[in-house]
Amino acid sequence: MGRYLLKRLIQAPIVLFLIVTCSFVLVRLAPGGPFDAERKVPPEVEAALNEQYHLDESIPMQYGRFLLDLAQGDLGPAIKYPGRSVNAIIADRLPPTLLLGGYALALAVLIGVTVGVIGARLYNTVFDHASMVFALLGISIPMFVVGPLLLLAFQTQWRLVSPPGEYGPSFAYLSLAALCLAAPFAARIARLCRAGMLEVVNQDFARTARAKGVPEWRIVTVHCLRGALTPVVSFLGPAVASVLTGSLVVESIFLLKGLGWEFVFSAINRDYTLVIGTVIVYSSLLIIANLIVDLCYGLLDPRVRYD
Amino acid sequence: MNRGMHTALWLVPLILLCLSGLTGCGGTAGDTTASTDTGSAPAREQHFIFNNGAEPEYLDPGKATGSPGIRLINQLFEGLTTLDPKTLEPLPGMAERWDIDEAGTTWTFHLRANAKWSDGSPLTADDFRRSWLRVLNPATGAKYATQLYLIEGAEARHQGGSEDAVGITVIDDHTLQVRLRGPAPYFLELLAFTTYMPVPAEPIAAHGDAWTQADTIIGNGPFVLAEWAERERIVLVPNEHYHGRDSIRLERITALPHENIESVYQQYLSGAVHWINSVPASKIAEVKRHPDFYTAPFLASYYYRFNCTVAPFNDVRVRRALTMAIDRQYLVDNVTALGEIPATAFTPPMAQYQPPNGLGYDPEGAKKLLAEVRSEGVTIDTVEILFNDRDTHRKIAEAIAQMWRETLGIEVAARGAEWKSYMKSMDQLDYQIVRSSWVGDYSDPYTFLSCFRTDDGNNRTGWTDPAYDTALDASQLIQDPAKRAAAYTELEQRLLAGQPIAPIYVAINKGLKKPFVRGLHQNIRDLLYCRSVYLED
Repeated sequence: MGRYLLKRLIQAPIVLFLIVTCSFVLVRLAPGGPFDAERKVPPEVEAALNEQYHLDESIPMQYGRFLLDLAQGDLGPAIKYPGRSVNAIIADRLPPTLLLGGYALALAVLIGVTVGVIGARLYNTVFDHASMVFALLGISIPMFVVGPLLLLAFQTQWRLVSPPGEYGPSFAYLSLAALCLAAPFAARIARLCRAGMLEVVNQDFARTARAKGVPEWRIVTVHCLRGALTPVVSFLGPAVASVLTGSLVVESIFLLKGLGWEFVFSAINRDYTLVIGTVIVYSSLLIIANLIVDLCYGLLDPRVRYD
Repeated sequence: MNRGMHTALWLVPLILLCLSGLTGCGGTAGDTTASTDTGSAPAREQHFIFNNGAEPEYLDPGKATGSPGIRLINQLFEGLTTLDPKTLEPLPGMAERWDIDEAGTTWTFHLRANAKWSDGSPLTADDFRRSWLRVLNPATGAKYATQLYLIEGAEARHQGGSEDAVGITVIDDHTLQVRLRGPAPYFLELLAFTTYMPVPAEPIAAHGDAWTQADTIIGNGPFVLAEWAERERIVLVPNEHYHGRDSIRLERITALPHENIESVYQQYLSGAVHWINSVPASKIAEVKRHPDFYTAPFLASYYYRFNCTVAPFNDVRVRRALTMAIDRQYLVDNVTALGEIPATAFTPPMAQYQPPNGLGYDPEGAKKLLAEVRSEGVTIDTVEILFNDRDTHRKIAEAIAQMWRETLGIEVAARGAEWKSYMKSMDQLDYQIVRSSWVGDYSDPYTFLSCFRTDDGNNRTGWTDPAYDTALDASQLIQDPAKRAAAYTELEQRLLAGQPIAPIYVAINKGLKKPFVRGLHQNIRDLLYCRSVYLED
């Protein structure tokens, strides 16, 4: 376990470095630059701006400069927003995204596992069928449909939540956003959990427990759930990635500030420095999430070995 | 481990708790909304909230380009002149009066004796000179520096020449003299443009590009920046040192930076914002029925560019045939459907100028013209319309493609591209036909017609006509308004004869405004001046 962790910890920065290098080159190869606009920028101004951001240098030169700055923890100035650094933008936008993503993941696991377990226990009943229909809907209906519907119902029609105003979003409003983001993940988790549960609930160890007179609720929650959760945990790794990128859609619909928005729009704006900054943050989060997931396998399933 | 599994049992009540929390908290929030919406309080708080459409890039007047920034800068700064919020007539701003010589090229501005920065320090003629020279310094990277090219020697300075040759002279602290390249009747209006506004010396020297943050910015407009919470809100409050402070009625302005028009529309309906200046394309029918909905003329042109450097579009007859096959009335009635005005000329109508008629819808004429071209052995199999991928642009492109297919029997592909690729293709003439639009900077046709000068960066069609360029330069030396208008008409006719573009419609201002918002006028340039705005009880 210790050796495995060490190996993974050494791998992580190498993976990150490769991702960042590829992004650095790719974003510069994309057509158009940060100063292309509907109204043509005079050539002398474009030259001055390129010089200011060192975009007049060759890509290897720019890359060397970038690595030097990065070594000092400096991601450079944001090109689209003069006077602001990429570090400052990330520091400002990351916490709301993490909050929303964490909240949504927690909701997804909570709802998904509960529905999945109950569905498996009440196999082939009305509850089971209804919950699976809802799960299918949750998976198939995209967030950009669910989000506006939730807003229309709770904000415009019933006036139960108010849009973020002078003092930022209320807890209720944030919950609505998190629910929207969580819905497809909750649905998948419910299906995975139900399937996993059905698989283990009749296995020998469960039967033995039953024969020993262990109460049914204890068999389900203590003995079976561990096995049933393994597919859920494998799903959570990539789900973290989808929640983080999905947060763009939810942030946009719910008018919330977050890094998801910057991640996508920095690429669209060809804001080279901000693109790299957000790529570093997102890939680090992903690498960490995958590592945690891999470690969780061992905790959930005693058969998993790390060597 | 067992304990961990026990937690699973708590899942059900927890979910219920969560959902009840959702509605529980919601109840209180709903109450707040209701009270702001009905305005049952005796006097309405003078707090104007609007959606600004995006996070501004700059609040630096010398460098600003996008409308979200310009909309706020117009509240935070003031030029030598300012504009009437309704008519856009130039009014005294920092200058209380001005003189002009007989040739119409030398202007002398007399600044107000009480002209002040928002920190109370005096604002002088030299502040203007310094600010304008800063814009003209190429190292500043001011994208709209060309707005100042009207000033003698400005263009040369911007391209690396000397500052001393620029026609700006400080006579004394309150007198500024400006020499122009030619008589420009729109100069007073242009002086109110953000690029001509003064910027403070000290904050820029101390903070560089970061000088426009709430704690460092110094302005001279009717309002000052109280808070800038990035991507959340920008708050303005009255500037106590503004010369017209007594007539300012708003106590607070909140500008929200939201881009999702659908959600912003819901926000408007819930009463949380008082004004939105864009409406969701998918809900046009519903929005049009809303009593708060308004439309107004806009100084902007929507048109298609032809790439005049590639076959078959290098043949003017092909460009004309394609133009004649566009049924603009159908487009504005059925596709855009917000009251846009079909246009056959590039320049929209203005107070001083009625554009001449270009080629209208004439399917028979178009067929005949194209048959003529085809009879010479030219084959026109497929053409491609390029547009930046947005719903409205796509719908228009598809409708036009259908018209060309049906009328002219040519295969048309409509291709959407991501914004920067689209810009790049347009810039490098790597297209056949491309969707375009242009918003005027001032109420004079020159702001439109100068785009099609041979070497202008905004031409982007490869169309060149030396006689057009010469006539364009000559028009700038005419002082008499009637003669000038005649010269513009002639220029526009020449442009339309060359047909590097197919004009489609004159755009409109549209939005939703709460009935209690007063003094917020829809002018032709969609400029916001909050100094006249107040909220009625």
